[in-house]
Amino acid sequence: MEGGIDAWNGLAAGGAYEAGLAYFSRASRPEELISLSFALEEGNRVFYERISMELKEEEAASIFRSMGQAEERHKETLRELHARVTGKGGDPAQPEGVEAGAFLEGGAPLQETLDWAKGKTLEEILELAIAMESNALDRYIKMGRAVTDERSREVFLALSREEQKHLERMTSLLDR
Amino acid sequence: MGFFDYFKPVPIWTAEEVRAFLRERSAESYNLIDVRQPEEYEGGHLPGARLLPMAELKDRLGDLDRSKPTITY
Repeated sequence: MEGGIDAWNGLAAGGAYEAGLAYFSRASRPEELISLSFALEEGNRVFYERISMELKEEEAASIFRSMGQAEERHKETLRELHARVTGKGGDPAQPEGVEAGAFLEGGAPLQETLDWAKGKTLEEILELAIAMESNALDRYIKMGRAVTDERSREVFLALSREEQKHLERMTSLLDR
Repeated sequence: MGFFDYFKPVPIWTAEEVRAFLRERSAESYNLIDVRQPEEYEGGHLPGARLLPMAELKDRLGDLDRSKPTITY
């Protein structure tokens, strides 16, 4: 790619490759990856919902509300996959050290991020949301590679395509 | 790799061309490789990119699926 990463201009995911691999190798069983995804989707859902209540611009608030609803649908997809993989209904168990809803994609604590967002401009919040969605896209692609179970792979890759759409939606709002 | 493989042209895409390609294709249909150092990768990378530092590239080429297009940066 001409110009390398400097030419990319946004939509980059952060975090150490080793850290991701270490988690995936420790938690490479599909049910553990599902649990981690579920916990992070819940964090994002709460974030989008709370932010939508704070935003004054109606169109932006509506987009954030629908993003929160999309994360809830992702949770439902993960619930179904979890039931199929484990034979157990209900929410996936909490992954070790990650309380459901306590963290956002990328690892930022939810409450600290909500505190940070107070008084920030829509542009600043959108940039954060784009970073979150980029990390979610990165994670689902890597999870799709990490699992050997075909159905789990399909679901993770389908979720990565959804995250790609979210990214496009957020960036188009930022570009206006 | 044969002698004549050294003379195959490697297209250079702009960031916009790469962005359009990634948007249209599913993640399992290409190899996306970051050849920088781990700390640079940690600072930010294209979503879904694998880290394959330049120094390790020669020994780890077998990790890549040769039937798929490969994008490096």
